[in-house]
Amino acid sequence: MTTVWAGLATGAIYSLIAIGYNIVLLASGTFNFAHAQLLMVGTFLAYTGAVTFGLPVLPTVLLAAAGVAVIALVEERVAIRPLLGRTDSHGTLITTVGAATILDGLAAAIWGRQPLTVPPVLPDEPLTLLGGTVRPVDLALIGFTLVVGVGLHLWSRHTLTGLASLASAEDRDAASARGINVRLLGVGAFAVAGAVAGVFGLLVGARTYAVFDLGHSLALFGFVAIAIGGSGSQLGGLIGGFATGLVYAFAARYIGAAYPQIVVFGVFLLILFLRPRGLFGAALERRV
Amino acid sequence: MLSVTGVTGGYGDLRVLWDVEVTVRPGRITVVLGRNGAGKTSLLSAVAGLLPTVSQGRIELDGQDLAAAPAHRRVRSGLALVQENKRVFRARTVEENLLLGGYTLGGFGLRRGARRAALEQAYERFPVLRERRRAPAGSLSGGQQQMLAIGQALMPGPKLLMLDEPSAGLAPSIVNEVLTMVAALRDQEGLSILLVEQRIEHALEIADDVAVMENGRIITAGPKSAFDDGAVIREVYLGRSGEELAPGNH
Amino acid sequence: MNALIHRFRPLGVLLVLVLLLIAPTVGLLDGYWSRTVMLIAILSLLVSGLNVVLGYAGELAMGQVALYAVGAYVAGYLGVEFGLTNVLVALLAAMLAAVVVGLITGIPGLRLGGWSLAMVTFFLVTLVPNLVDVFSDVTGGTLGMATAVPTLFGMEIVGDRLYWLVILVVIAWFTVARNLLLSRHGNMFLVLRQSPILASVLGVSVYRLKLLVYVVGAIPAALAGALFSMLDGFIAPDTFTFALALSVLAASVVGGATSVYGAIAGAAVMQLGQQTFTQFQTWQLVIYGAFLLIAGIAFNRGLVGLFQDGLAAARRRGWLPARPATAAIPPGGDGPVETRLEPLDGVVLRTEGLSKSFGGNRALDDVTVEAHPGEVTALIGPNGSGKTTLLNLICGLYKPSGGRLLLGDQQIGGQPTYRIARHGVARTFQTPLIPKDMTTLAFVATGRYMNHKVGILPAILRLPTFRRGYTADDERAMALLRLVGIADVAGKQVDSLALGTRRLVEVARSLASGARVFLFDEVGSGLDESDLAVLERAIGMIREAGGTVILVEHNFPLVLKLADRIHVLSQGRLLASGTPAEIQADRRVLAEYTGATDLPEEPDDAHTPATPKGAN
Repeated sequence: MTTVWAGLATGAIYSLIAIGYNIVLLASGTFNFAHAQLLMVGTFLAYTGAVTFGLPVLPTVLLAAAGVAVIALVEERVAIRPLLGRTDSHGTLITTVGAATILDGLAAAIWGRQPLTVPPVLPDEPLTLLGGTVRPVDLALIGFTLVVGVGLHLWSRHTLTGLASLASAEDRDAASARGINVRLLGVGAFAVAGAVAGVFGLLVGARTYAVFDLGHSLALFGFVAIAIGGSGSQLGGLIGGFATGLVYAFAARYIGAAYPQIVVFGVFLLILFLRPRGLFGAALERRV
Repeated sequence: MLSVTGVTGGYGDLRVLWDVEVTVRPGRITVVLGRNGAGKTSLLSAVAGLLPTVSQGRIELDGQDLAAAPAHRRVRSGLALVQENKRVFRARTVEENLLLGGYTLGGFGLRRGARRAALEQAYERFPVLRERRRAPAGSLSGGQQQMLAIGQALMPGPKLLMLDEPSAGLAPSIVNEVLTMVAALRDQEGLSILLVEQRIEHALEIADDVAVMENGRIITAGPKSAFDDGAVIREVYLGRSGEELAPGNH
Repeated sequence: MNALIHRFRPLGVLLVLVLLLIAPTVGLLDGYWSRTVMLIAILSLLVSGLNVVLGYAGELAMGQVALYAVGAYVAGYLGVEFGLTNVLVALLAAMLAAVVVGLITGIPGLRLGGWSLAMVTFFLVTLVPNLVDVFSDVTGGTLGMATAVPTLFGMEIVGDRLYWLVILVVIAWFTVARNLLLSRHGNMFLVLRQSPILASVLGVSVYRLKLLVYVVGAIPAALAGALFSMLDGFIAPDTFTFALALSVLAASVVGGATSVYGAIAGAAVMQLGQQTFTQFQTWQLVIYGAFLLIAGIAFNRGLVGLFQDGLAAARRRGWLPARPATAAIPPGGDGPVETRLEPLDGVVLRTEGLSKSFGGNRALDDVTVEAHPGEVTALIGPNGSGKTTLLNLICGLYKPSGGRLLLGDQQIGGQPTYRIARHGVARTFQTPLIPKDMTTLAFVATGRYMNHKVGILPAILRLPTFRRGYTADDERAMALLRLVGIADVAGKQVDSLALGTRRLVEVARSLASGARVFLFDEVGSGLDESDLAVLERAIGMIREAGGTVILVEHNFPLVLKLADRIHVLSQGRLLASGTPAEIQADRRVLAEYTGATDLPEEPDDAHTPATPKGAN
């Protein structure tokens, strides 16, 4: 059960990445490769707030949320907007990788290349729950991720803005013909995705350390989560992330420390090969 | 009401409209005729703000020039477009589609205030949509989808309604129904309408003014009476207009 | 003077290469610089592999670094474990390993392409340390492994000999890449990048071609790895980092991804930058990222693009002699216009109860039509009546929901597009699909890609078969351009043409394949009188030559003039079929078409709509 908790906690991070990808994907139709880097910057800002400035929890979270949201907006302005309306879809493939690389480089230049320890916000005594041990921060990470994931899912179906984002994901031209400011929606999605990444900086950092190349592996596992859950489905991404985390944890526990990445890669290849639309993608689409 | 003057534009370097001029009088229907590829859909797109490039010209609604406004702002100014091919959000339900149609209506709640009233009105206008309000729009029949598309466009209470081939792909009986309804929108609600329609007979029955397009230009336009002998129509649909076209398009 | 320069250009290139090869021997390069040149050469191999995939097939595949590692470890292991130090064996083994890894990762990754492939390949790079660890018996784990001294026929390949080997391998690879990319195959990669649909209509299996490109792109990376293991004599996993993968990508876009030699320029910039600026280490990621960002937004043709623009500008201003203008046009450009086509092997195309539903919508319902060789069969009907759906079903872009599709006696319904195309079904598009970076002549010649195949090997080796095939392709393409009256645009970039001309180019392209069935979708719209006349003549010729023509067209007079048989669709159903005269006389058709209800009696004037009723 301890392995399950560990898997869920790691999986929560992957879910968060998948959620971030999906927010932007739904509203603006772009895949933001750099989203994992935004979460990475979130962990550093949390470190800066909590350790360097010695701020309490809430101001730290706000600082990280605002900071990452601003960075996300800058990214949208520099790497996405210049390509809007272009016919070749390959542009953002290059520019978002570029933005991700710049963020990696800046983080390394500002905070150094050594991992920094982000202090856990909750007492660091493992709890025994359902027959396994789990740290309170990890439990909080799992809980808040579930809340955000399910919340975003409900929001997208029961608010006007949420519907507008689904509509513009389906047909951008038709959405603007209904008076939806598609461009603003896209910009807003970047800000929201950035803010969510920033909010979680503290919790994620407590689990992973703040380190400049955190983004690479998170980007990959977040994408595996999307591949499992089907792109554009918030619930699918949530489930996919937790599933990926569990696979990872069990592979590490039962096969060996060098293997979890390889096993996840194998699962990833298998899913792409057998169910290119994701395991839950089709089912979820049909239900709505 | 609507006056389009000297509009030239297209997709990047590829021009599809040359110096196009069209007017819609208040509470009247202007029908745009022309063969496929003549530029009718592009004209509506240009007016709605969806044509990628409009290099010159004015698009005035009640004296206000909208040529530089983005598409969503034009909806707020009172333009509504029903795109061709019954373009609704197929994955969303009927009610969600209608609510999205009322996107520009103020208020925070999804089913509150003006949006709620507009929704009720839409259901009254098309009772079948109320019956199927929880069904995904993609599962409706063609005729129902067309009603949904029109109902969606009417949600914000537009001043000018543009319809792109509303009868395409519909059974003749439904075609009559749709076009009768278009006429009723003018007669009963005083809506000004720009209609692109291929079924000339039906379209002309309800038209007040006619414009004929060919190769991205308006080749002739005027009140419907000028088209009564059918000669121009015959030329446009069944033979070439015979006018020498400027060499710009080649 | 002008001719002289062009005459001696190959000689000049040769001179430069010889100079490069003897440079260390005659003392032009010291140890530091010869190592630098070798490192640039090795990096350029990596970049070139990426260029093939990214610049030509349009897929982002970042796995070059992983394949680099594969090449290095395979070469190293063979030497250490089996004493197979022969460089040729090492290089060959590295290539084979690259092909295997390429297939394993490419087959799932390419099913979706785009980000899926990018992520699979990213993943591969991050897995290198894990895999090295897992196979530490073979690889030496994180500690690394010392490689054996490479040999060739008893000679030790070190110092200047190693330098020669590296340079020769790089020359060999770039010759292969140039010959492959500057051929019909390279053109087909460009078509694929622009429009997979067009590629499949030309008879190409998109998936297989992408896989081929991906695997080809893997080969130089593995070669680079093998060479690197020989250069350093030591392999450790910390060489094969994510940062290196990013520098390869940055080098690719800096040099210009859609170019053959841009890889060298990009690799040089990256390698020299890294060695020259001490600050580079701290800021290298930011610099790479900035390169990617700028390249993605502003100049996507890289240094090579800038160089070509500069060259073109210099030529315009007369600073440099102009290029011989005839380069792109094959001989016989002014030959007589053909008036007949060679006989075409037309075949009966028949649909039996063909249906297609989208969700709840029945777009096509139980349609049975037949098109005969030597005849023009027209499909007409109002918008939304299912004409284009029928066309898409015939060429395999849609899978039928019911019914059969027969070509001769063969059931072809449900087959993938490329297969149907190979049976000899060619089509044009309502909005012509036109690729970038290609001349009109080359584009028309792509129509012959499948049915007049020149293999990849002959292309790479520039064998006589390739030259003959190329000349034949160009001559045929030129003849067809003359036939549709647009020979003058043969050398122009095809995406610079106006809509009407694009349609004629598409007709020429479909003729180039020597198809048996021709599907023309709205081929007349947007054409002016003279183009229309040419088109009529061309379609007439296809009919006379025995081809089966299916025409979807709104231009009623054109249909009446050309068609032998007309099928009228309405609401996805077949409303009427008959000769033009019968269709003209059919009241239901006219009612459907114009909505007319009360028709004039005179059959002569039957296609005139009735006078509108009074205003309401």
